[in-house]
Amino acid sequence: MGQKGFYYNSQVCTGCKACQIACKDKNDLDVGVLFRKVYAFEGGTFPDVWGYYLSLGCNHCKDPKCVKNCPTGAIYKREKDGLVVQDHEKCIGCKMCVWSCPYERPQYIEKEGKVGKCNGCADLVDKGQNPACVDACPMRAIEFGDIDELRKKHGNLCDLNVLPDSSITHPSITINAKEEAKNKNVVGTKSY
Amino acid sequence: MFSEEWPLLTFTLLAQLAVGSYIFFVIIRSLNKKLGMNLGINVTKRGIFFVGPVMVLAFICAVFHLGTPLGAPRSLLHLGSSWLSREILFSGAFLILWIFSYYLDRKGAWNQTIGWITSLVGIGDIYSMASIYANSIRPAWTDVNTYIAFYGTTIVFGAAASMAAILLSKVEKTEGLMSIAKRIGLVGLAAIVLQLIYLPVYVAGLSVHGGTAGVESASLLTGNYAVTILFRWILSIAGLAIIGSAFYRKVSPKTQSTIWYAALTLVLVGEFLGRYIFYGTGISIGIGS
Repeated sequence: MGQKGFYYNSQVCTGCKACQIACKDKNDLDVGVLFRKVYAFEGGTFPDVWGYYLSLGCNHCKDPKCVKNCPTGAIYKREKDGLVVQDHEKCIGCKMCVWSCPYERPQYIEKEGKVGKCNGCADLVDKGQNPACVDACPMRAIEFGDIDELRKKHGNLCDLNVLPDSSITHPSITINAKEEAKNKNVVGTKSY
Repeated sequence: MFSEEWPLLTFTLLAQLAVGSYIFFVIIRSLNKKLGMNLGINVTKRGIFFVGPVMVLAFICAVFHLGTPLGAPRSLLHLGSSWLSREILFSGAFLILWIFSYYLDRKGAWNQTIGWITSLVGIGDIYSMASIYANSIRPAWTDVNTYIAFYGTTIVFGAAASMAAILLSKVEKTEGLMSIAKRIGLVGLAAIVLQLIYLPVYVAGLSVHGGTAGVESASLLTGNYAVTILFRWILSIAGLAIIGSAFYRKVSPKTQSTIWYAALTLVLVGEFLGRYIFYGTGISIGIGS
């Protein structure tokens, strides 16, 4: 089996955050801790305005810096499907992964004194099911599967204006994005 | 966010104080024969002792950085690729080797080779420490500046502590000893000058190659932190200069030690401010930035 990853269709996403909430529910997360987060961007001047959403969980990168820098080996890449998962027991809360992820995904959980992150719902994946965020999306904007196949089907775009350079960690994602998200000359702002 | 890094900030400073001092003491000891009268050993006797407790204190600070302090030993489990694991390994090895070399020293059987090995491990420790930051996603840290700053502090601390050790010791201040102290002072100053030369290169590089986060760090360095940076260098230089000048003044031993404590405080505060700026300007790259 090859590397698993996500396809995200920003063109149809309505920003409802069902994915974010399904993730919180699945992982039983407190207020403020988001393993998957929906960001919103906007720009332009009336009447030429634009906006789009971006939903990001762990990108299960090909070269995850969090895995490399984790001193305990708590975060590791599964051999069978390349999912970047965390052995929560092993974490010592040093936040090295937080300092390593350009996508802001590992979340330091104050109450536990540990970091938590999206495991790609590895337990569900092992049962042949989809991660919770995928099935929760009413627009079917998130797909999960073999990243090579997803790229064949949807193209290979993971460098948006608002995303860090993909050469840093080679994220296993591909995105269908609006022009404004791709055009380097377009400047917008992050709403949240 | 920043307040959480206090233990880490203190850890890096204390570890660099311990390693820097130890290395300079070992260098002075290597000149023992040349100095005669066992001066090299006698003048550093008290100083060598302090290295261990400072390193222990550094370790205690490091543990408090962790959200789960009891899991600290697990930080050694990923030596293959994690610089944090390597840093803990080197720090531990440095402490163990210090215990060994101090034990021999107490017995009057100082071993110079073990002194050099301990120093090398110390240098490795500082390298690992800097590499942690150099491998992060903060443009202000992923620069050779991190190595220059960490080794710079190590040298400045080492120079200040070893000059002070010579000044405070009750041994006869021979000409040979004074000339070593002078050279130590110059090494300390050189470490500062090198950092000052690199500073504009660093800031310019951040604004050009650092992306949005780099530009933000650069504007902090030239804006909010500019005055602090100025103070930081004045304090470190003044501290070193005062320790150095104390050699040339005939004052009572009591005044001398007062001057020494005042000067060392200046160096400590100067380096503390430098590290504070280092953490304060570490802006992450991220989503929409």
